[in-house]
Amino acid sequence: MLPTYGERMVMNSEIGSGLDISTINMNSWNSNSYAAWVERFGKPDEIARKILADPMKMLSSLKDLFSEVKGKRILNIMGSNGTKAVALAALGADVTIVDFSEENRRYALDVAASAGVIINFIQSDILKISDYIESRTFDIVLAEMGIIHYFTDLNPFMKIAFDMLNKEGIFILKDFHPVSTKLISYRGSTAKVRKYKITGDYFDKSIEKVEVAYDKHLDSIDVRQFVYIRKWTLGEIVTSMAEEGLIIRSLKEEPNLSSEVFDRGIPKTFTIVAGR
Amino acid sequence: MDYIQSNKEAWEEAFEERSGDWGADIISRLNAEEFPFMDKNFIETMSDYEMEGKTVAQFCCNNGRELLSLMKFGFKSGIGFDIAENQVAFANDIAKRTNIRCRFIATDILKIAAAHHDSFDVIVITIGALCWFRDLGPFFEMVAKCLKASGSVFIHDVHPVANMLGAPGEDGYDETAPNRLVNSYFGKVWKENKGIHYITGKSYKSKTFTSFSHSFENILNAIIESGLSIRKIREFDYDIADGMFSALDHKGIPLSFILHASKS
Repeated sequence: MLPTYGERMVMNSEIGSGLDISTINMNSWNSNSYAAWVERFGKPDEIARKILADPMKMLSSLKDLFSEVKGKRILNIMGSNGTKAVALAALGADVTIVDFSEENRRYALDVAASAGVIINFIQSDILKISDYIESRTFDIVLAEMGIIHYFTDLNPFMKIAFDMLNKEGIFILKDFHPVSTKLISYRGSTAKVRKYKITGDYFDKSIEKVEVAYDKHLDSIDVRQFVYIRKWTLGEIVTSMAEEGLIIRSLKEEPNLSSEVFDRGIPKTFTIVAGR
Repeated sequence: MDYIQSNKEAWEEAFEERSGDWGADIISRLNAEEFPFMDKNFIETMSDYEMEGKTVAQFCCNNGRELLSLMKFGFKSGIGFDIAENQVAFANDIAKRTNIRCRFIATDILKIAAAHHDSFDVIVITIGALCWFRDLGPFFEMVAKCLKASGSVFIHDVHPVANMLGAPGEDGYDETAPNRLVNSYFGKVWKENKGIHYITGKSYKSKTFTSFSHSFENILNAIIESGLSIRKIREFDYDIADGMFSALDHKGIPLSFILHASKS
């Protein structure tokens, strides 16, 4: 049986240093992420100005789901650099981030301070959130982009989402689409000549070692940070939600939203909205 | 002529053109095997739920062999619905000869009579059903209408990813690279006049078949909007489309799926 994200299971030396996956991932997320967010978004006051100029724009394709958030209690699971949370706070929501990275915490709180909004940041493993917050607290639980692959068992994660929702609350999960992340590769650098093939194994259950997401923003750093991830199928995601009591209300599968010409016909992200 | 009427005529033509041995093994296999004509994972999924004494329907039941097989679960009664009148007559004849508690009704699924609403504990939908409907909303509205409270629908179909692959004979298909993507995930319409080979065993210029591929978004949202709740999706790496994608069996590509949904 695979270790879960929150377990303190000692891995063998192949994984690294006798540390568990969660600790390795946490250490990686604490190494350079503040500097990476400065590279990606600018100094906190710079990104704060952009967010305040148009908070809805920061929510990208999720904006329709957040059209009325004033006064809503929102839990942003693994909310990372806080840019979404600050945008939601600027729209009048009461936002809590749970994330285990100290560097993410500093950046998110610096952005919030610069924006003149208050967000609550709990630095913790999400699976231990019940140590800090009572269940049924939130109107909206949000987890978006690059979240679920950090769990080697999805059910405990989905149970947290279920537990944190109040009676009328909704869980919004947006992430990379498994058909793209697990299956499809391409050749050709222009849209006209690009050819797509299925070369991956959709059913692969292995844990992969990959560069931490923010590393691509840090060209000057010599020592790369790595994390361990498990990519899930759509069936596994949907079924784990249902098994933990979440009632799925909609599924949206999206093409490449950042390009009008590349990757047409291929699902790149998905958004599931669920309730209790 | 609308596409549903055109498909009805094309299916009835396929039955008239059927090969001599098509359907000839139904009775012998029903007698000899536990669940003939059914996928073992589909049976395994249904087996997680009590079926004894319940009522079952199959939408788009073809010649009835799958529903006749599923009656071995101990269903109290079963009704198969299909648009092709001659297929339904064939299915009723088999049911009569085997004395299985099934009957078959010829109807457009979207026009199933109100007498069948709130009638079934279980509705089964297998490959070759969803693809004949442009809009899955009305289709699953009928599923929801026909299910009793707390009833379940079990679906076994081609995975949306498989519809991205080219099939032999299709534009863009490369037999040296069957894993090349030629269609959009987000849906495509096919108009064909090549007949139904698995029934006729031959190529012939047929009446026009119009079919549609559907993404998981289309399928799940139609189910959800009908008032049903998604319980489970299982995905599999093998072809169930009469060998259309079998060159890619067990290569890590999702080619089929099973979905269970129920009334809350």
